[in-house]
Amino acid sequence: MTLNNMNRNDLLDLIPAYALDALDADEKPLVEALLKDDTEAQQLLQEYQAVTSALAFHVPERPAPPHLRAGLQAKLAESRQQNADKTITVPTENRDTSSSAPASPTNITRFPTTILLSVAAAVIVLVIGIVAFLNSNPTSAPSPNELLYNELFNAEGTSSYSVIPNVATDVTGELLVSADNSEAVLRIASLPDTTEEQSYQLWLITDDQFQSGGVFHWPTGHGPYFVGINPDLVGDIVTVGMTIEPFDGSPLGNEPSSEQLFSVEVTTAN
Amino acid sequence: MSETPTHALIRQIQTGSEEALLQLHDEFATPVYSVAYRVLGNAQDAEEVTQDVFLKLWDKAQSFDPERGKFITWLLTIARRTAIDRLRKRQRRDAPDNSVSMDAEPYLWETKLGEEDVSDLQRSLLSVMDELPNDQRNAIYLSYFHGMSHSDIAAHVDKPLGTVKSHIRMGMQKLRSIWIQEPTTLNDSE
Repeated sequence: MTLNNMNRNDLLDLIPAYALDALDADEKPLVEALLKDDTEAQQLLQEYQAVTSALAFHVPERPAPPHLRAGLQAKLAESRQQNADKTITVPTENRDTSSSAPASPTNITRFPTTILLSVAAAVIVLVIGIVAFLNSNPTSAPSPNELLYNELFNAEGTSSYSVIPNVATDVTGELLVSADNSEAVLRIASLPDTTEEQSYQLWLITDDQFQSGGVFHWPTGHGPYFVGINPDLVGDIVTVGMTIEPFDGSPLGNEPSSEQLFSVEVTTAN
Repeated sequence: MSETPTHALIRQIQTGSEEALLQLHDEFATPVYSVAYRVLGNAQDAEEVTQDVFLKLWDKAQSFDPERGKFITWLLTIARRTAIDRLRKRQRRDAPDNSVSMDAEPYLWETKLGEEDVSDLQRSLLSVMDELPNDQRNAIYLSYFHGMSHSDIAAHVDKPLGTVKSHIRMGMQKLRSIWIQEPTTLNDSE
């Protein structure tokens, strides 16, 4: 039998192989032509596809090496850094910390080169436009705090403390503290948005004393944002928190005026 | 359909939660790695594919539709396809003598992946798979896990093309006969 004299039944016989993607290149279009209008063929294919979906379970189990998790984390951090490279930090006055733009899952998609170049060109045009509009000096490199985060992330002995969101928020992130307690950086994301009259204020709590860790004006709550912690306080911090305050910070001075968005308990490393 | 913990994690990934992705990695890295290893036959390639799969999950989580099937099935399909892509690239790169990494002997199917992830119907299918004649099982295996076409398999096992086609058709028909007895349970939710 040749391809030219195949009848409908011959093609129906090829559907199991089509479901497995086992057809040769010259057979595939013939089966696809049948599948266009033939409901019986379509039903058969659906059934065979259901069968093939079960086959993946028919393999010996091999435990994934434990270091794969750290590798994935490193890739995600790399993606955030690449994202920061492409974005603009809106400068704020007298702030000792900086921000980066939201990391989107799409940032790590591998596009064809032509699409990538087109997107890159569009990003460049957009950046130039925003720069002209803001008349400011955008930062294309990762912020020092993000670099510190990546450095601590990959360093031995670093402790990681999870952000515990307030029940009303979905904040995520972690505080990384160096092995010698000399440096720390907080990564946070998914904060509630603020209005133009509001700010985010970081609180460092040591022995029940609140100390402001900085007032921030981020364009959205999405993040992630990287916030450096005052090195003089790193060893003494018990809890880290954040509140939404008026534009210039809490009207109560060294005390928050609203409910904490999250807390980080610096007691037991994760 | 009520939301399962897995579906909740996928929804969190869609909003950018790396922690949710890492939790899914903790739960599913082993089945993904197992499939990748089965296709590629070495740890280094399997590790890289496993990482690629979870990066794809990070990027494409929104394309998972719980109404269409189980998450593990969807994820392992991505794993298999990613691994086969890598296998094909490796074969193009390597000398022809090294292009096939496995022998043509019947494969061992006795060990199953993550029994807790397998529905009763899937378990029945896999049981029938064990009972298929070696030639039929091998042909299906070479196609599914190594991305081989009819012609590739025929050349690999040194048998006539028509014979290989028959092996695949007959083996798949037996598996389908199990499915059509009880089709509704195959796609039950996690």
